[in-house]
Amino acid sequence: MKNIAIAIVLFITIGHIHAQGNYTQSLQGVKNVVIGSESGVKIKAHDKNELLIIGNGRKMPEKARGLKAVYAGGSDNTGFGVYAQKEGGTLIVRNLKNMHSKILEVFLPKNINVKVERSNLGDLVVHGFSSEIEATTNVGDMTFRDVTGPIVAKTATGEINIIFDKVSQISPISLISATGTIDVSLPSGTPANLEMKTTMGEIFTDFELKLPVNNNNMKVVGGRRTIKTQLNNGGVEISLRSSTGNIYLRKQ
Amino acid sequence: MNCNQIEEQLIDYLDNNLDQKEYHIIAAHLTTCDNCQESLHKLQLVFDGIDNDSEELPDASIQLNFEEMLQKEKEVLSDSKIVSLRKNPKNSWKTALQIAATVALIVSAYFYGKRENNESFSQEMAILEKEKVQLKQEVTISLIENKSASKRLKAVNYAEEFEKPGNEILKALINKMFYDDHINVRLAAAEALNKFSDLEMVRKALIDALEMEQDPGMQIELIQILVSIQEKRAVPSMEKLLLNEETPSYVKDQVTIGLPSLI
Repeated sequence: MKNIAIAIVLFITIGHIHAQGNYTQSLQGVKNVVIGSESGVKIKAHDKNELLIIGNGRKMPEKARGLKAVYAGGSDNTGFGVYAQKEGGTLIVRNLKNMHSKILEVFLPKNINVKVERSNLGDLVVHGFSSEIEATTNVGDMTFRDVTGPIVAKTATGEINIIFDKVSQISPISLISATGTIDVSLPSGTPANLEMKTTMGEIFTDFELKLPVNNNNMKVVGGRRTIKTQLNNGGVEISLRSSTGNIYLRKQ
Repeated sequence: MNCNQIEEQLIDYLDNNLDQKEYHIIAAHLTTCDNCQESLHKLQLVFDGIDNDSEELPDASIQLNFEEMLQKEKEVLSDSKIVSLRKNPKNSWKTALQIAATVALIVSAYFYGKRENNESFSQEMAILEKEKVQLKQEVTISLIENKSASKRLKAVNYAEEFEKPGNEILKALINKMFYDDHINVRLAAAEALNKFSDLEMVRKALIDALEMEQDPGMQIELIQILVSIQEKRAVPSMEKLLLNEETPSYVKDQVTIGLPSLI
């Protein structure tokens, strides 16, 4: 009986993979996901408590029939050139393919904490999470849409673009780009302790900051010094920092 | 019955208050005794005089006066039924003084109590404050090793709020500045340490950090901090950065801006 059940589940799973060309794994008991990829990564939230990797029409070369792809980064236990393994409450997802491969598209539950590591050249796109997101890229740009934070993100030369749905007050938000610009949109009623610093860039905003400067729309409010101010009587710490890039803080 | 006894009974005899036997005795005696007959006659005269005296009635004017007086008396009575709360004005200063004394007593008691209270209260507050600082220290220490970078940032922000952080806190901050996975946390730790840069331990750590640092963002932050605290011992590592070909130009710019104020 048990064997039959397993066989059926296996059958359905295999059928699912073949039908959609996607990989799924249950995320029962998993709270954190760590994603490593050299190519770009696109992470979207969905309603199921499972990991879904879009197969993206991956075709095996004709000559590879009967052979298995092997990668320097680890074993391909998904069949999609991706290593996915649970370790305690953490799921490790590692893209084994090189940086010139197609972007890795992943779906995760919206309340799971996501950490993206060493996404070197590729861009990072994150959509719709209400959990904590950590990300570092080297050259790649970062785009976050419909997120709440906390977000800790750092890129060396990429841009950071974030549109906040609302801003979680749990713990701080910190965005750093060494040479890229930082563009953040916040709901106008967001309470926050805001710190903005750019060493050589400029800061633009349409928020009414309490500064001894005339505030016109999107006017230069600072350069080469830290702006520390409160939005809506203060709240969670939001730190935006760029060494040479500009900072744009928008109301939405 | 002698004459004296008879005489005593004469009034009753005249008023017909005697029984028949006594009446006959007295009547028989009266016919024989002239003295008694005379007494009876006198009594008879007095009685007649009382009976004949007309009843004197008060004249109309007296009656009117009486009515007036009654009316007045009634008024007085009805007046006196209201118990006036208004005290005699003669005594008002006394009452005022009493009230003032009472108020003064209450106020002084309140302030005395408050002062007493304040002393114990401020002592309590001091203890609570101390406990709070200890608790915050513990929370900071435990949070600073959290898996989440955002939580670690929170811990660094907590640490920055201490007026006089313990060695444990400072060591944790220095450790974060050197080794945290996230540049964001390292930068925040460096900034927090800037606040405590009057301590030699912190200055030393900042100098060492610039010497070892690879990340341009961190280098800029450290250069700015070291220049602002006028740390001359950092000059060699800054010169090294200028000479290093791999140093990004915008980091070199920071050094060229900051260096002259140190030398």
